[in-house]
Amino acid sequence: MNSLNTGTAGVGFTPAQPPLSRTQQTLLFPTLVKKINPDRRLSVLEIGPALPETIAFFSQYKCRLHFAAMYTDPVLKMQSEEYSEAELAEEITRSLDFKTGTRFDMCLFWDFLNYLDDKALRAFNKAIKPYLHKTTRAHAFTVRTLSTSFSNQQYGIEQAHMFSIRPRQGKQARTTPHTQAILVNLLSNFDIDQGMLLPDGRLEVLMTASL
Amino acid sequence: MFDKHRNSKPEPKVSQPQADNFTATASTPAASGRAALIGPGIRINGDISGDENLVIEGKVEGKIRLDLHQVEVGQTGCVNADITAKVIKIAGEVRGDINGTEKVIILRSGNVHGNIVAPRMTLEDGAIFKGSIDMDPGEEAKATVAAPVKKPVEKAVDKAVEKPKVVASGNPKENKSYSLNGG
Repeated sequence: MNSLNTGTAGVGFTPAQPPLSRTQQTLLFPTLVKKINPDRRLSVLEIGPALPETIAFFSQYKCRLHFAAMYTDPVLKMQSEEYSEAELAEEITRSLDFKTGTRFDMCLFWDFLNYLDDKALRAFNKAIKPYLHKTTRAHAFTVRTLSTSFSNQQYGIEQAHMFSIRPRQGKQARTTPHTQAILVNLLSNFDIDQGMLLPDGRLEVLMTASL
Repeated sequence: MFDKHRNSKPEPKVSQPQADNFTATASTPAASGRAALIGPGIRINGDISGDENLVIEGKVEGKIRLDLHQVEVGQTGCVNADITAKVIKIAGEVRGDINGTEKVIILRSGNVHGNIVAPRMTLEDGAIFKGSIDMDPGEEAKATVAAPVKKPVEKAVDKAVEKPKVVASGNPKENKSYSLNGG
């Protein structure tokens, strides 16, 4: 149960490679999955990298899956420099590179929001707003207390109730954990609906757009 | 443009592809017919279309359209172009939109930045991709989706699996009966 078949993903994919990751149970994500109408196209923003298991999971739906790969984006370094919030928002918009008219039904933020300082998170909030609609839902990890740290890891979806967690290659960017109260102030496009405390102190949250 | 067989001049690298030119996991397109090879030393600016499979080990800028055939971008291949083909296999670098009418495969060494439209999509572990993927699994998969979401079973959970506990819940919005993606 703590290992995955993560070699290859896709509809009708070939036998898997040796397991590389561990798993994490989620009780919140299934509530999002239940809301998916399989007869309509689903639009998903995955803020992290493309992982085989995530593609395999969503390949059962008629969907557009957008991988933003923001964990390796230059904006994470830019936030510590003398860029204004507006400049950061512009850079994030450029990096996200969404087509005009894109509206996401589901956003998977994972722990990315904790890699943005207050200014960058406000900029992110501004940059993403045009791509949300009033029932957009989001999943994220935040913290209950600021002493909680985030490991250098990336997330995928193995099953509706099971995430995969893989170690991320490369040096970990500086983290700025946000508590639930601070997060909702900075990420004002969303309200937190539900939260689950994880054993390591992270708080898993589901959010709905508040446009 | 790739009517190489009529060309009497010796070209640097246009021949049947060899398995060694591609990754070990990639099958040769020769299995399904003839294939043209753009070798590692070749650079092409312009549009490519034709009636046979194509293996790209060199650099291509422009557009590639082989509607009924397979395009393979080998490990040394670098493509800055939109690609349309029946099957597209990528082990190298691609910047551009990709339309695979049958299947798109990004191998572990592949690095793709662009938007993919394909009924079947395969991404190998280690591949790098940034962009969007349009997928439509068809009726069979929809039937699977319609089945109830599997609930976690406590007994089946291994020790290594992190188990959450509820700390906050009950936003009225959660009780609204709406679907995430309309309808």
